[in-house]
Amino acid sequence: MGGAGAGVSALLSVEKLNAAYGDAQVLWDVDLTLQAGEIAALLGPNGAGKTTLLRTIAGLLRPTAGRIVWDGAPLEGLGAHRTVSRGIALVPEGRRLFAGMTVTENVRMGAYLRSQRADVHEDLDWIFDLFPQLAARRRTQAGALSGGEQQMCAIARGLMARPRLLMLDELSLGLAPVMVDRIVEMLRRVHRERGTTMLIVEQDVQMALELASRGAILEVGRIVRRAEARELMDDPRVKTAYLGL
Amino acid sequence: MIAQEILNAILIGGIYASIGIGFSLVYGVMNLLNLVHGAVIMLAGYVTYAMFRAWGLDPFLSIPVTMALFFAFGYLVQRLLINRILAASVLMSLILTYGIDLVLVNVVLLVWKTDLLAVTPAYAGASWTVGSVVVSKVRVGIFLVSALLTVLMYLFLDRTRTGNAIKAAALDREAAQLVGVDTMKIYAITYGISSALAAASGSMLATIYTLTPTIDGIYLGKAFVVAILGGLGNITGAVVGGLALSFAESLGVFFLGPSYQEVIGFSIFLLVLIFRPYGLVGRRFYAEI
Amino acid sequence: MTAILEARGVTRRFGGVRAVAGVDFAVEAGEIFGIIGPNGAGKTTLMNLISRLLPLSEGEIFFKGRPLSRVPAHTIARLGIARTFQIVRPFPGLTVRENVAIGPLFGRAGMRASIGECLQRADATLDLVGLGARRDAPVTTLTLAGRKRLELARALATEPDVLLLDEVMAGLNRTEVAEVAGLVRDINARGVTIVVIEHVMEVIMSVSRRVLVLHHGERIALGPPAEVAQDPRVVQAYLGARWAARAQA
Repeated sequence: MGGAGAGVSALLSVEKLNAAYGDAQVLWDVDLTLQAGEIAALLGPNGAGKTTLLRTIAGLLRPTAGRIVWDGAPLEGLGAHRTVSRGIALVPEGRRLFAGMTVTENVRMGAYLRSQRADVHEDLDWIFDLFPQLAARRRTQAGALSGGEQQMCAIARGLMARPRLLMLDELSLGLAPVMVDRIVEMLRRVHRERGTTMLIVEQDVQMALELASRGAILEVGRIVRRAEARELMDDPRVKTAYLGL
Repeated sequence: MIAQEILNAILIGGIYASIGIGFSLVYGVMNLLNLVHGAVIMLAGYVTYAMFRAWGLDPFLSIPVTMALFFAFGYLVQRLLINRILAASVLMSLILTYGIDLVLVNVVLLVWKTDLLAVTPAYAGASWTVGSVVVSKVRVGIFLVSALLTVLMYLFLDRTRTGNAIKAAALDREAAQLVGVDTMKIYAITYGISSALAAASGSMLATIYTLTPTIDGIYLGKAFVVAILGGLGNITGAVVGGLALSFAESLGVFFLGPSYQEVIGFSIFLLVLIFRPYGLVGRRFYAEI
Repeated sequence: MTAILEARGVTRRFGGVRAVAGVDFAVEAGEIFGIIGPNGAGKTTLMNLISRLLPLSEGEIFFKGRPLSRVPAHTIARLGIARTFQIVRPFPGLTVRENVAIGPLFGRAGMRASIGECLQRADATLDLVGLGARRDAPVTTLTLAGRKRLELARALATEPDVLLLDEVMAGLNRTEVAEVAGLVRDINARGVTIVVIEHVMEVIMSVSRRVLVLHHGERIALGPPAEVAQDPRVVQAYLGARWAARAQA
């Protein structure tokens, strides 16, 4: 993804973003742009601020300085529930499914803001076609699902909002590689069929760089490197960012 | 004779359940121990009394009125007052809700002084006699209304969009926000609903128990016990809790005497807290039968 | 060199989950020993076990040869272990100096110092961490960086042999991070053994003499930073199995 000023027509433009929890600052002057339809990866070691950046874009956290411009308009101080209505959906770290609800209920909650019932129904069919494993467990309580199924359910819930930008935070955490591959295939399909822009934060660096076209490395709250995914795959600086050496 | 006690227990259990549901709901959704709950029950009873005295409005017919009135009251109180301290410590919320309780008690004292009042419609003493058991018509009516409200509550949470949003907000506030739920509004609605349920209970209780400016504490205590017995946040549990409490009281009174009524309730409460702090029904969240 | 702190088979269970599983390591007196690992690896739990905030489920930790499980938690400071906390919570009603003086009042055995002596020690420690000029300021006026230094001072004032630092750099900007890193080296130069957990990898890898890597509660590597950074298991833990496989190829 690009840096400041990279693309007048960027779908998402994060400009000099600063964010903190109390007075512990986590993000320092972060610049980032996303073009419509691209898949971008946000890499970096733990504690670097990747989750904080996604949460700030999603509206769960208020920036202390800087701004976020979405589709030409600033997202100033919008709560998370309004950011969704603008077309940005976050699949949070740890999935955060509604434990007392079934798969279908969880997925339907994703469409909470949508009023066109016919469209919602159509999307539900599409989702279950996309995730057949989930379709088979439609009436199961979310808490009884396996890790992979939970992740699929969380992604399905995010997709039901018909977002223009889908952000995924650590989707591979705790999942077997086979399951991760399956989910990546599904994301590729979503991208093909819907053209959804995606921003992924990912521990599995290889997977992230294979899925994404561009990537950026976040270290201690700052973007230290931006490049094409191909380039980053062979870049020793990626490892240095993660391991300090 | 025991049959009489059992019957009374079942009938009263219904209204105990509806007192507990609202209290439990607010805790489950907003993590708030609502000390205003008892005061709303009390005030609704007085309002029903006032309407009965002024216009002869039947207490059961006053239920929709008090429910609407106190829904609005609850919504505003949450939105304007309680909302501001939700993020602060538990102590803050206890102080605020206690303060609101004091205000309501003093409103009652101002308007109705300390007289003992009761709502006595014409059918107050009517009953059926089945064998040696006397079945009070008013209590049956109360039980039916409470049961209806409980079922409606259940359907609301399970089948409506807003109800689902309330469940979602209770299960995971941030995840709910991430699908577009305005949690601030949902909290206000939840609190309003809880107040409406309390008001309905209060209107009905006014027909069987005396109205005094001290009943806020008594009903809050019962709501608390019922909610804890059922597991805070658990609606099915509140039903079980309501029946458990009413049975304990009735049987306690039957075997030990009337002065033991409150003691029984609170003793059970203590035992449950020690041995099964998540309630008799277990840990799961409500609307799961 | 003698091991001042030694862990053998250290395990801590929470319900059915092992947050720390059978970890062995020995920290040598006078070194800076780093503990790293991806999120949830068990680093903070391990630190809580060493500082006796949590009891061990299995295994033992030895301090100067003495098993810590026999020692009540509140006497750790008297033995010579001090730690800092991630969320810095100073005693609000007191000045900077008073905050630091509290440690020595309860510190090393035989340190039955008078209040005056404790205040003096506090002053000396504050000078060491660079807060000397703010000694009489109410502690609530400190910035985040100031509070971190205060945490260090509070721990140091008890004259520990081992200092446990838990994410002391969190939330600081680059300059502040460099300053605190320098401070850590200074403290170590005075003979204090330091065990440090940190997410700012660059810093911990440059400051530590040896590093222990935890993953899912288990030890996967231990050695000098340069070695550990090349260890394929460590690369895998941080960057994923596929990246590690490619890097090997």
